[in-house]
Amino acid sequence: MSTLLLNALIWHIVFGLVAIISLAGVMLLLRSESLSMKWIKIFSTLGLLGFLASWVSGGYYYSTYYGTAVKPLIVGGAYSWAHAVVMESKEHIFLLLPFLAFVIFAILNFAGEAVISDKKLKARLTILCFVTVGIGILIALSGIAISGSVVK
Amino acid sequence: MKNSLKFVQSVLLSAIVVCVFVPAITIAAELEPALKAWLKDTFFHHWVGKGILSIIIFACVSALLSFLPRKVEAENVSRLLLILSLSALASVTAICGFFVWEFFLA
Repeated sequence: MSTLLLNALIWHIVFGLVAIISLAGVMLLLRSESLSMKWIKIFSTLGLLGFLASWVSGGYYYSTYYGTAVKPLIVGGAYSWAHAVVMESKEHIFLLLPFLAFVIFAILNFAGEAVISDKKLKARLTILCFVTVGIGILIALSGIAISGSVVK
Repeated sequence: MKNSLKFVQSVLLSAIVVCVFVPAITIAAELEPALKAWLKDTFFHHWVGKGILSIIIFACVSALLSFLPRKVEAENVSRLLLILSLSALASVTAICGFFVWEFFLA
């Protein structure tokens, strides 16, 4: 594996975790009575940028290396379901995350006043953050399972 | 404020469309090898193609809805937020469910 690919693999994890933690921050900050919109907006921006960066770096690793070098090891081993079910699900479910993060970013940056004044909107935005963080955690756990299934 | 709400509503609707598109093209490409081959030939990799098409659909639907004249209310935005959360969960379920079915039951 080249240095570039190694970095792509490592950084896609780091960026993804930054995004998950940032959106968890948004979710928790939305729960408070008086909203600190400055920090909520910063965290929502980090969440969006994190998922976009993870998409690019992970996508580069996946589309140029995983299929030829890693997939055969998993499929040929005792945990072939790790690719057929976990990896296939992970790579497609991930496609939702940048768009969910963009929605959260857009609402907070373009309709922040409505979030402050409308309790129902704030509650449902919190739910969306929870769903996005939950999906992100599912993706992260899937990555651990896939890594553990590689047998050389 | 009204233009901002209109943009936000457009983005919300576009994201819901993406939540339907992603599992649809994922399942379709697995069931129809010709579609998967087309994605690979056109976009270098089938997964890259699904991502690019998702972006295109999201951008086009957002732009179209942003410019269409219509009334927007905060109540609609609130309702769409809930629909988006449910759509995302349904999308995850559909994708996982399909690959579990394909590997273990098909």
